[in-house]
Amino acid sequence: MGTDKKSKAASEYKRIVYPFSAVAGQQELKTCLVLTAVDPTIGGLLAMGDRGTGKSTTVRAFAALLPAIKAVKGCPYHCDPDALQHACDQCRAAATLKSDTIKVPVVDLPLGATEDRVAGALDLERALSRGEKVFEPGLLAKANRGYLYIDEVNLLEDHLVDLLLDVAASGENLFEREGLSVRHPARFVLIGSGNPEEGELRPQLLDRFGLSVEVKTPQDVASWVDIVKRRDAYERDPQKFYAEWEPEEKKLRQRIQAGRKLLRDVEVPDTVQESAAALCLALKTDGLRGQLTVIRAARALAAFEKQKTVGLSHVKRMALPALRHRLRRNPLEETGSAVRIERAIQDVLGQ
Amino acid sequence: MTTGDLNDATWIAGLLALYGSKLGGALVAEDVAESFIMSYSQATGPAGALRTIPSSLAAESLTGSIDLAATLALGKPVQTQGLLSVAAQLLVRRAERLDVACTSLLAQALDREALLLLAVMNPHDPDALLAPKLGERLPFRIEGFAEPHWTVQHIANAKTKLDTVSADAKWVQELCKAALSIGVESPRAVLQSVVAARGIAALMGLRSLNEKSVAVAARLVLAHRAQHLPTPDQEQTEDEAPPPPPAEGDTTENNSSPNPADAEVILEAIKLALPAHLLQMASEGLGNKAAGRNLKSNLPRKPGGQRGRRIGNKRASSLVGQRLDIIATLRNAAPWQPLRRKFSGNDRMIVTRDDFRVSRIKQRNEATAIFAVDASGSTAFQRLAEAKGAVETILAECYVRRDRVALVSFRSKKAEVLLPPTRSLERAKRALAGLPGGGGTPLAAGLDEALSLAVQVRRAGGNPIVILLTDGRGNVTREGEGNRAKATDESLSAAKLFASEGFDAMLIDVSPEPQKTARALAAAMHATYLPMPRASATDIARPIRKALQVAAA
Repeated sequence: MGTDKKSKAASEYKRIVYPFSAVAGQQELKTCLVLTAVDPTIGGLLAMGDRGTGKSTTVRAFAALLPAIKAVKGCPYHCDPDALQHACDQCRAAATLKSDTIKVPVVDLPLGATEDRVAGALDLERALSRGEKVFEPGLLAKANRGYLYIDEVNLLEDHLVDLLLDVAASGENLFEREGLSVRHPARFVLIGSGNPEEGELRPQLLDRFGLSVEVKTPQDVASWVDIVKRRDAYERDPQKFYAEWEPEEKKLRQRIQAGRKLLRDVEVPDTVQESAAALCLALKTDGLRGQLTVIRAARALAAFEKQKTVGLSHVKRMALPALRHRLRRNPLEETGSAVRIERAIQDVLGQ
Repeated sequence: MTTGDLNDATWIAGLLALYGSKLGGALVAEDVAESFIMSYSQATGPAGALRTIPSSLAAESLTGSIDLAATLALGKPVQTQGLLSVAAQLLVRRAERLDVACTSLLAQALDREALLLLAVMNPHDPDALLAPKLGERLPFRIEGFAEPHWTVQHIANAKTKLDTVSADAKWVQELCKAALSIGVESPRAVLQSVVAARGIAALMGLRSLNEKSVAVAARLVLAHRAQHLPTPDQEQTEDEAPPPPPAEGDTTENNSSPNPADAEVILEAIKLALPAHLLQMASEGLGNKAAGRNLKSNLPRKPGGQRGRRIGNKRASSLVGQRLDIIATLRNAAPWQPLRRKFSGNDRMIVTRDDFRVSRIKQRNEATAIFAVDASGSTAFQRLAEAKGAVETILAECYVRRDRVALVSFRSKKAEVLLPPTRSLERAKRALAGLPGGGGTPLAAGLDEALSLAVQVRRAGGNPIVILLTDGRGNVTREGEGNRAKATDESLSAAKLFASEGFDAMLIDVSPEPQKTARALAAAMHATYLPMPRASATDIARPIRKALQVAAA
């Protein structure tokens, strides 16, 4: 069993993923993804758009790009040995910890997954064959310290949405079922994608996403040719294609790491804070989360661009993805969120 | 090897045999499925054997799970292997019935290029719609009979050539152009067509793409994704625009490089294979929007019975797709332990099949409000605006409560479904904005249409409520004649038919004074009658809201 899982994982690693830098177009989506890596506290990303715009490809490619992390060896939640305040009970109690380097976990949450699969369950094998009561971690455990990706998040069933909301708010998964009581860390960046034509997201869940982007298919021949050619080259010879893009990937990975280091030292001047507040006030966004996200995203952007001070330009650029989904909306309002935000930026922040 | 006059299905059989799990698969019409499978199997030999899976499949059978019976019998964990890890070629009949969990697992496998999927569907069943998630990933549609043309040797030969077939950048551009001009929505389809074109060239024994291979690929992959007829001005503008810079290493211009006429060849090939209804719509002068809606109609799928809140447990006749209630199972097994141990001479816990208990799951019923709106001239334009307002108000609420809304309108000579059941605000907004008014009142036709939609919703597991907004004064018969007496008779009989199905209904009388005819109609429908002489949108919305809450309980 155990060896089976390992060999499967190994073969998945060998599969060459389409390089992130080679994703054609989708600039806003790419930038926002990078920022969630620079500052995971931004709180996830929602990408809504038509089918076949490359949302899934981009997200999966991004996973492969991320720098490796240090984790406690053998821990099902891959706790961080250097940040035990967020670790699971076993890791905290252990006298010595061996650490290991692993890839950032990126977990696909398939639509229609059962609660057992997501939250975890009693380990059936051990319960039935050996009579032991052991918790079998679910997808939430796997996603700890990484990314949880939900395609078609707008079609996710309500009871799973509730579960995710609880976990996302507290950063841990509380399992109280089948006579088991388990609590384990589950901090992850939530990435959702979907097609707005097929249904809306519940407002509570919408609010949980830090950033949101609208993904559109370009409508000109040149962009299509570009997309198809790159993808075709990749499918014909993944190794060669990856080799061509590897320098770009490396560069981006280093920039993300540099951004993370710089993040702590980036200053947000009071004037910038105030203008972000004024912007949110003008747009009447619900709650403080919007304002907080604008600032965090602007700070991450500044860090990524190697600047030590957040400027108005950063706020202007991040206002749309940070606020787009937070406007209190009259469901039949004709003016799109983007237009309203652009207008508010003009009015409040000026040129 | 002559490939000159092969039909589409035969080409597809060859391509799928050639590419295996690298080219997704196909949606196959039920009546031609056998011929296709024959043609395909002859091409692949035993290596490509298809595994047939039932559409009632549980997601666990795809991913694998613990085999309870074997585990208990052997006293050590036995894992069943998931179908996705055992079989790379799956065939599923009545594929529209796959539940949402299976659909997303299959889509993931297709993305990993680890699966060849043949989704067999009944083309004559209007309710049979494949989940768009799968439809998008399957490049081919098979509607005709395939011939047993290919042999294992053909395919083996083509395989050796496949890697050397070069795809001239210009052909890629032509395919992109053609796709955009017929409204194909995603570049994924073009990619599939490029891969298919290369396969076709390999099957024809060519070293590079030529006009024919590209035209066939376009016909097979792009034509059925057309949203409208080719836009003629597209080509002119393209001719003026400078071509994008050629890719590096693209200097070998061989004799197969396309000339301007080639784009037309591709478009011609596509036109021949355009779905019939598209041409019909074009000839009737309907716009692109209507065509797009028809092609994209994608009712949300019925959720499987395994999600929701747990409300108890029951004895399990079969464990497939069920969630075992461990505690109840063990509790049930406990009293028998001393006896069983004595017989087995073994002191571990002994659980037998009879002890199994599975969880009972309560699913929230999904309410669907079907608005049937009388948009005739007699319903004053102001009333129509109010009806629209009411739908909007309800919709805004459904959005929070996760209910669905559908919209049927009837006016002039016929009734039509303007909005299939949806939760999408954007689609509803569009449908409402486009609702025209005026003309006679084909009341019977409107009732029929609302009824058939309600039946459809119920069949999909939803809970429909019909809300009819009218003044009850039908004056157009089902045939579209202006005959008040006959129209009234027809609408009463339609109302009785409606009542026989037992749906919840509400008739909102929108005439300035309450009408006897409307009251009689409500009685015949077994509907709640609500005269609303001066109703405003929110007034109409209130009773509907109450009914929806009941329906969803």
